[in-house]
Amino acid sequence: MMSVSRSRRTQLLEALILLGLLGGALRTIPVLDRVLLLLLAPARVALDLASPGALSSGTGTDQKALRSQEREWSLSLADRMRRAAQPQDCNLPEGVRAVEAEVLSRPNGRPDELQVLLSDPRGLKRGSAVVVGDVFLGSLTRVPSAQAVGRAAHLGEVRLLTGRKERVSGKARSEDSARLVVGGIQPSSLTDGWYLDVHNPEDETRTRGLVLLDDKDPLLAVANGWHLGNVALEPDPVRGGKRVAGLTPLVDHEAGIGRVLVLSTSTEPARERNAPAPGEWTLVRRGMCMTQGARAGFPLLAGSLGGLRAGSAVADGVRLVGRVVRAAPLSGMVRRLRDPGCAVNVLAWVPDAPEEVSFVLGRIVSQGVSPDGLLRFSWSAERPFTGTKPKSVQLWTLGGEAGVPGGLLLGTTLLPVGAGPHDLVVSNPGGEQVPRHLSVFVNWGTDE
Amino acid sequence: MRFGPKAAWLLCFAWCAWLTALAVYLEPLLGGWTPDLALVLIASLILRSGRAASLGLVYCLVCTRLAFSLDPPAALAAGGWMLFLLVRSVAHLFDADQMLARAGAAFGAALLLGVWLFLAAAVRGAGAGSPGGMTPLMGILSGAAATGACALILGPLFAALPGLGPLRRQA
Repeated sequence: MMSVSRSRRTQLLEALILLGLLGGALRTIPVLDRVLLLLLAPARVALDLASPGALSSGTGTDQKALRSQEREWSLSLADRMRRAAQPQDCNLPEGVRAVEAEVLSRPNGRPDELQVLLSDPRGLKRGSAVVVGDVFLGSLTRVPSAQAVGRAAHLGEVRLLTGRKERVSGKARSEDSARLVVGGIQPSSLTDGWYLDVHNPEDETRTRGLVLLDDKDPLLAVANGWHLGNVALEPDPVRGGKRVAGLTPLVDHEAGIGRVLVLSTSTEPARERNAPAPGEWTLVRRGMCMTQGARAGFPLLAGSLGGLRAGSAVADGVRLVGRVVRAAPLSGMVRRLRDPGCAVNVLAWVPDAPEEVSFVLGRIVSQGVSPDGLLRFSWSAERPFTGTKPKSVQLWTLGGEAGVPGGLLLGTTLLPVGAGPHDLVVSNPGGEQVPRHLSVFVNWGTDE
Repeated sequence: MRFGPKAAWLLCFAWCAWLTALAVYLEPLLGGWTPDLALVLIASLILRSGRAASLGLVYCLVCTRLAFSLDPPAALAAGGWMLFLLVRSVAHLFDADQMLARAGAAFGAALLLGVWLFLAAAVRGAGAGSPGGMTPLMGILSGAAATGACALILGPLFAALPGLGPLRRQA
């Protein structure tokens, strides 16, 4: 009798384990994944046992020259991006300074918030205005505490104007300058792009053209005159004519923000934060490259104990090789750029014509490799390229997402013109060779 | 040289790691016809092992597979657990010493694991892709056939790999 009962209990337990594992396999359960990675940590021993000796691919002299050139491009791009984030037409009011901040991630996946690394947080307050170029983005919602030290002393959070409860006052730049309230996303326009929501426009017929910030909050008022968006019109089915549908945003809020400025009224002189800070990258040895059908990746001989996390960028010099897809305590797994589904935020840039403005593409998603070995990416082109003809550009990471810094090279592509979606074919000479040691980005936004 | 049971388990893990790595190495050459060599080894041992030993063998398989796979740990663990439950249910129907039984077990296990991982990837939207231009299911079927054929030809050799004696005798 007892043995029957024990057998039933065992069967029940086995069935429950099976159900739990099936659930975790079909939908990510972070806790289960962490437990399994801990239980299966000896996988690292398998990597050590099977570490190949003959797969090392050194960098030739030509490649070394190319890599050196790429490093110079990356530095030049960083400088270019820094300048692009500065106001172009708007002027900083007297006594106001702009504090640079690098976007690290969207905390906990919240799309309307940014976690930023402030170059000089002195004097910043909750509610300080945040801009990029001439565009107003939102306000600072978290400033580092005065007691914080090291990296934590530079971490802040920004809430974008797209947040549901965000509201600021604005006025149209036209002569009549009708006032209005802007904030949140226009809910009815989610199907064909989206608009910033407009509330209580003073006079719809006079609300046309570019809308500028015009707020009375003293912390936001320093950014009065910064741009909010262009008025978008739609047919009015009730009264006829046109009515205001919302504001067309001037930047890609979802995947096009890599660097911002926080406007501070502090009179203390600005301090530069040296970037990249030491310890942002760690050098890791890889295991053998592998393919599973169309999928491609390789294991790393370091894991979460070495600072790796799922999503971290893996690079060879300044070339993006892939992203960490999972990090066990002692080992990790990387999906390469050619692995279908691997996604990253990018911008297009022409290093030979540095005076040209870079063009933010936003998120592109890998479709694998074409038969001739070139990388293929899909690009939704929500903000299409408006040139007269396709243009040869380099694709670089933009940053602004967890684990991936800006300034990593993907390759060269011909940027198509007009509305998307588009297929991008990216050539990356020498990109098939993956050296034995790679850099993994470990500069995460969370407090350490 | 004689090995104790503990050393046998360590060697079983090592053999699984080497065979999995060899299969990964062969994948670009053989495409969809790459046999799951670690599964051949496990299939040649598991039919005559007890419950605890079966669990240990499946653990070796999942652990080494995880080291060389892009699949999520939960999907691999679920596949391994399904194999374990299936083997415990049907092991008594097979004669462990028959080559055809071992080949059939290896084929079935490879098919089950392949289909499951494909389904899990499809549900997650990760798109496992198709090896060598085959349709995904054809790729899984060819891989399972290669694994079964490998078990038929190399099964006895794998079961006789150095250090695995204590595991073979656990019937």
